[in-house]
This record gives sequence, structure tokens and C-alpha cells, in this order.
Amino acid sequence: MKYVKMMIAIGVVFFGVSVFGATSAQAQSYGTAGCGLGSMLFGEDEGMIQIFAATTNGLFATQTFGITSGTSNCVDRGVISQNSEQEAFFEMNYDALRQDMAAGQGEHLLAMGSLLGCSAEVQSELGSFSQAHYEQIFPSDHTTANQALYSYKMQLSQQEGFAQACARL
Amino acid sequence: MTHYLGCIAAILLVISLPFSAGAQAPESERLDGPRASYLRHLQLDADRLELDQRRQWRTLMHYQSRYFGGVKSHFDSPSFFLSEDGKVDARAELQATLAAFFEPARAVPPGERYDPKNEHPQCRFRARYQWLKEVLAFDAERLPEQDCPDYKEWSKTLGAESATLIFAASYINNPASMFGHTMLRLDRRPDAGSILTSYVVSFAAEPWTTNPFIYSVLGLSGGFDAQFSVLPFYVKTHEYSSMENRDLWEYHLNFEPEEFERLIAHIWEVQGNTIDYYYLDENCSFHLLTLLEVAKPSLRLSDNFPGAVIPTDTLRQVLDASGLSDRRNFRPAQRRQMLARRAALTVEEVKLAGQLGQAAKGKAEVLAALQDAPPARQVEVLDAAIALWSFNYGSDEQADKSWKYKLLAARGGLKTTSSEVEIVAPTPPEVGHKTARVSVAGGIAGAQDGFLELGVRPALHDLLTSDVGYSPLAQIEFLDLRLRVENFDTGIADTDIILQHFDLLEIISLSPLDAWIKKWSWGVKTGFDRTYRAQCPDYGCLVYDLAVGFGGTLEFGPLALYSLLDGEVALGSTFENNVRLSAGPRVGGLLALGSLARVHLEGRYRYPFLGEERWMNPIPWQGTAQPPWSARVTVSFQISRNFEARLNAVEGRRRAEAGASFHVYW
Repeated sequence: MKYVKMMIAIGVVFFGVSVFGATSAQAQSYGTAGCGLGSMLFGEDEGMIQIFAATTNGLFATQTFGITSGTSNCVDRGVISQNSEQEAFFEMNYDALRQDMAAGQGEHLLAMGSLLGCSAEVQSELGSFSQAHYEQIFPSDHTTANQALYSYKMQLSQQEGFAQACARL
Repeated sequence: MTHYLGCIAAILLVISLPFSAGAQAPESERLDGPRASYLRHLQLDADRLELDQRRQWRTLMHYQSRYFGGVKSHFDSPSFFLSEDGKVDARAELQATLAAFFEPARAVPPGERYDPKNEHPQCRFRARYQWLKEVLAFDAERLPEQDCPDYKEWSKTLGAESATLIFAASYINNPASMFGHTMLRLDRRPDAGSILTSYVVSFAAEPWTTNPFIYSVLGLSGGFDAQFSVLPFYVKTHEYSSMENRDLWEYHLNFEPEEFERLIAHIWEVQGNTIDYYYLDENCSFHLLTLLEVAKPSLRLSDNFPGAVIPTDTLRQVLDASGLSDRRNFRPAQRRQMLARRAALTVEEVKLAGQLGQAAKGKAEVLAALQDAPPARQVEVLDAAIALWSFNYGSDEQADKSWKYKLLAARGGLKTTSSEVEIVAPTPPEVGHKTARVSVAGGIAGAQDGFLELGVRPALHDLLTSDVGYSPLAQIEFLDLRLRVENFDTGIADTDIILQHFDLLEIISLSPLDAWIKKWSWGVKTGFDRTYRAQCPDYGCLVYDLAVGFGGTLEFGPLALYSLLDGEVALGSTFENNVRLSAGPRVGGLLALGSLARVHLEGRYRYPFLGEERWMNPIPWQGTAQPPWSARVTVSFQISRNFEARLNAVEGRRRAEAGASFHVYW
């Protein structure tokens, strides 16, 4: 078994180095929210690393988290603490949420509704509400996730129906 | 690979802090009289009942039998054990565990950051405690039960009531990912939150390098640590569905409430402990199976895997276990949703949506012109355009986001709710053929020499096999070995057994070119093969080769036509200076006749630049050189899911061969 492993390692390394050469990660950031989330991910054309990673299934199949300075207190015992859940979710799913809000429906919008503690009755109205207030929630393309979340909650709490039906605005 | 920095990063900070080395079991003398004697009593009881031999103890400790007797745990971090010899001594670990349960309660000062080190062993090893408490019937008077607020708080946050096994299908244009990947989702109770905010347990290595050389060697030789991580499902959907465009298959698992409780308790005690990662025998799928076994001791999932573990195989294991899963759900990735949206458009609208979503900055006049269309059509076009833009630039941080903002604002301004998009799920992974293959082939090589060929291939899939359950037009083969008995028909004295072919790896990705998804096709192959030259015996010379090709594929319904430009390096003593460099085109077609049969035609031309005589100026004493082209035709018949027959003919330089083969997948 060990011998086979070595054989594969040598073969794979040989073709990896000879064909693709070194690769580098593409740094990407997702802006910063209250939690200071950000992310870095491999572009699609990582060649060797991506092929190898996919093959070995599990190396790179999960994000590994780097530690930044001044880690906030939004994680507790390995899970996201309740008072950071909304921020973390809005930040991480910012693109998907914007699309759902523009389209007036979608899974991320519903999940956000449940994080805001909205009752099932008003969940279905969140879509049309988000569409109607789209420009206020996202005034420009530079709006950060945190700003959008803040104004979204503001808009909702100014509406009688939502103010009462959503427990965590 | 994705890095999330910052907030969620703290998850690892919390769970990956180095734990103290295995706590020393307190000497019985340190306990007061009655408690020391009760501990002694429990330890004797455990011995009498041979608890250390019980399956439940073995699964809790992740022990595996060793070849020469005894056990060894998969876990490598000392924090997982209470006895110094816990990794290899089941009994010592059990005795030490019982002793640790008697430790006095620990007062953690308020405001102190949570740290597993400060936890009482009864709480840190929750599943072990609950099992031992049950089988030994702990007396709460003599062994006080700890309160474990941290564990309670954690499991309350999970808010889970059932588990779902998740299988991630392959990346587009990357057959290497056809093995898939598995995770375990802990589905929240409806009142605790949505499925997206449920937590997912996955097992993965943590590579600390992106240097392909170091990375490859360490990944295969156990140089990375791996561990179970618990992350929100939306982190995973972002990664798989949006960034990598991998479809997810979800399989609901049936656990009784007490089984599920055991699962949660066990996840708590394994998280943060590390395992040396060997891709070939201890990978993500295998370790997830062991979690399920702790929950449901009647399951025998991990016993069936002596060697390498392929996620699709583990998925089938789970689905074969009676009553474990009965519901399946398909979660299409972004790309599939986009194509479904496109399918609802007219030709003219597809063009419009393409103009809006194809470029990072589309044309404002196109967007303005769209407003003449009826609102319902505008909605359809914009939804498709937004999906296309996200597909192209969603993960590109440098892309100008202002255009997407314009599209979204226009879409929001229409004040109409989008319709749910109809998506036809592909065939699920578990119905595909099994992963390993043995073959037997026979035929005629050259003028009249008969041969018999035996082949074995541990994994996974090639272009000629039915793609039910697999990515279409994709191939990955690992360690494909074929041995030949030559001169099989001329009497036993003349037979030779030769190594015909041994591929370490061969990948082919024929990604059809599409107006919206322009992906190049590519192939890579490395291994041992035979080359046929005048200087070689009839059955060729063995050479080691490495070939890479790039090109394109066009798809016309069931027919795919492809063309790749290949470059090859071959090493072998038959060549001048032991090396041959060659390059040239490879052109072929693949026709699928339903799922019953496939026809594959391929022609190659490889011009030798180095190491071999050119065919136009043959060197007389080396025999007649011939042009370096070859052609092959193969027809495969899918007799049943795991049984296949093929007819095959090859014509090329100094080689002509025809034969039939049978393949069994297992």
C-alpha cells in the first residue's frame, strides 16, 4: 500500500509540476460586515491544484478558516452566536440575497426572514416588500452587506405588519 | 479552496486550540474512600462485561483492528484520549475514562472564553459518558453527574432534529471531482430556523500550502491534519452551488430520537481532534460513516472498506442499509438554474440576455430597449441575464459590480415575483455503475496472433460506459492495469505474459462549447504503455509516457465531436537518448444510443520531433518507418448496470488489432 501511494505521489507530482507549474491563490474579499467576514478563494483555473484537490476529495473540499487579527466575538463553542447570526448570514449570502430581493422570492430571502424571527404569515410578503424597497435597501453598488442589513431592518420595523410579526428586528 | 477570514474564523480558533495532552487519570488514592471504591467497582464491572471489546466502544473511539491483533484509533491528537496509550489500548482508555469521570467539578470563571480544556471529561466526552452511564448504571450518589452547560448551549444552537447525508457532484469541466464529496447536515427544527442556517459536519484536511509539489506529496502521504468541522449549510451552498457550480444531492436519514442524540453528542466530542489525512484510506467519506455507526450501532458501514474509499461507494453503503434513508432531494447548482432559465426564453430573448449578462459591463441601450417588452418577458430575460452575469463574474472580485447593480435594480423595479424555475434532475449518483472494474478481453493482434487480456481498474469511469449517475462526456481512470497473454493460440510454449498498459491516471473532459459557457476540453494521461516500432518485438516496447491535450467539443444531441491538440513526452530505452517528444491532433466522435450502447471513433496523428526517425526519411536498416497515425473504433453495449461488453478495433503504425471485451463493475 505504501509503495502504491508513493508511486501515485510521484506520478501525480511529476505531471503536476511539469504541466501546470505553480499556482497562486486569488485573493478576494467580500467587504466587511460586523463580523469581519471575508473570503479568499481559488479561481476556476487553478489547474493542477484544483484537479488534485478534487481527486483527493476532501483536501480543499472544505474551507479552512484563517484567523484575522481582532476576531470578534461572533463565534461561541464552534457555532455562530445568536446575536451575530443575521450579520453572518447577510454577509456570506450577500449576492444571493440581493438577487432574491430583486426577484421577490427565493430560499435565501426565506432564511433571512426566519433569522429576523418573522412569523410564517408575513414570510410570504417579505418578497414583494423587498422588491418595493429595493433602492432604499441597496442605494448603490457600494452598499455593504452591513449597511443593507441595517436599512432592511429599519424599513421593516417602520411597517406595522412586520414590526409586530418579526421578533428579531 | 476557500478561506473565510474573520468572524467565522473564530470557529476554528475555538475548536482547534491545542488541547492539553491526555489528562492523567487521577490515582484512585486521590479520591476519597467511598468514591475510590466505587470507581474500582465500576472498573471491575467494565472488565467483567468486557466493555472494551464491545462494538460501541470501538466505534466511539474509532478503533480499527490491526493485522496482528489489537486495535488502533484513527485519531492522532492526544486530546481525544484520556489514557496515554489510548490510541492503541482500548481497555486502558476505558479504565482511564471511568476514572476521569470522578474528577471534581470545575468552576470556570464567568466571562472566560470557552475552551475545551476547561471542560469536565463527562462533558467533553459526552457520548462516551452517556454510553458508559447506561451500561454500568452509574449511581448519581457516588458519581455526581456534571451539568455541562456548554454542551447544552451548543446543541441548543444546532437546534437539530434530523440528519441528511449530502453528496456533492462534480465540478463542470473537472472529471477529477467525479468521486464526489460527502457531508452530513444536521437539519434544524422548523422553529429553530431554516435549512440554510442548519449546520453541516464535514471531514476534511487542512492544507497549509498551495505549492502543488508539497501539496501533492503531503496529501498522499498523510502529511496534513484533518478534522471534523461544523459550519453553517449556507457556507457550503455558497461554496458548492455558487462558486464551484456543483449540484448537491440530499438523502434524509432516519434516526430514532435517542440515536440522533448520540450522533450529536459524538460530533461534540470529535470536533477539534485531528486525524492524519491519507487520501487513499482515511478520507472524508469513510469518517462520516463512522459517525453514523456511533448513532446506530446496528449499522455495519465502515467494515466493508479495507482500502480506498470512494464517496459514491459510501453513499451506496448508506442507501443499502435497510431503512436508513428513504427520501432524496436534488439541489441544483447555479449553472443548472441559469440554463433552465435560458430554456424558457425565445431565441431573440436568449440573445438579449446574453448581451446583458455576458460582459462585465453590458450595454445600457440594450437594457433600455428591453423596457419595450411586456413586463412578464422582461422578468424572464432579466432573471436569466442576472444568473448569467453571476455565473461569469460572481466569484471575480475585480469585476465591475455596478452593471450587476443596474440589472438588479431594473429587476426589482418590475415589482413582479419571479416564477420558480423548472429543473429536471439528472440521474442520481447512486444509480450509476459501481466504481471498480475487472475486464477480460480477447482478440487478434497483427496477422494472426491471438491474445488474451486481463484488466483491473480500481476507479472510476470512462467515456464508453453509460453516464447514468456520472458527469456526461467526462472520464477519470485511476491505476488502469492490463496484462496480456500473447501468442495465446500458438501453443503454450510460445506464450508470453506482458504488461500491456498501466495508467496511473487518465482524465478526459469534453465540455461542449455553448454560447453561454465556453469551456475548453482537455485531457491528461500518464502511465506505462506499449509503443510499436520496427526495433521492438511484435508486442511492442514498454514506455512511460505523459500526454496533455487541449481543444474543443461540439454537441449535437447524442453526438459529441471533439478535437484536441496533444503533446506527449515518452521515456523508454527504445528511443534515441531514451526520450521521444511528439505532438499532433486527436479528433473523434462519441455517439450515445440511449443508455444501451455507445460508439466511439478516434483518429490520432502524433508527429515525433525527437527520439524517433521521421517517417519521410526512413533509415534503411531500421526497417520501413510508417506515418505516425492511428485510428480506433469501439462500440460498447450496456448489458446491465454493472456489466458491459465492447467490440474494439485499432489500426495504426505497425499495429492492427481487433477484439471483444467484457467488463464487470463491482
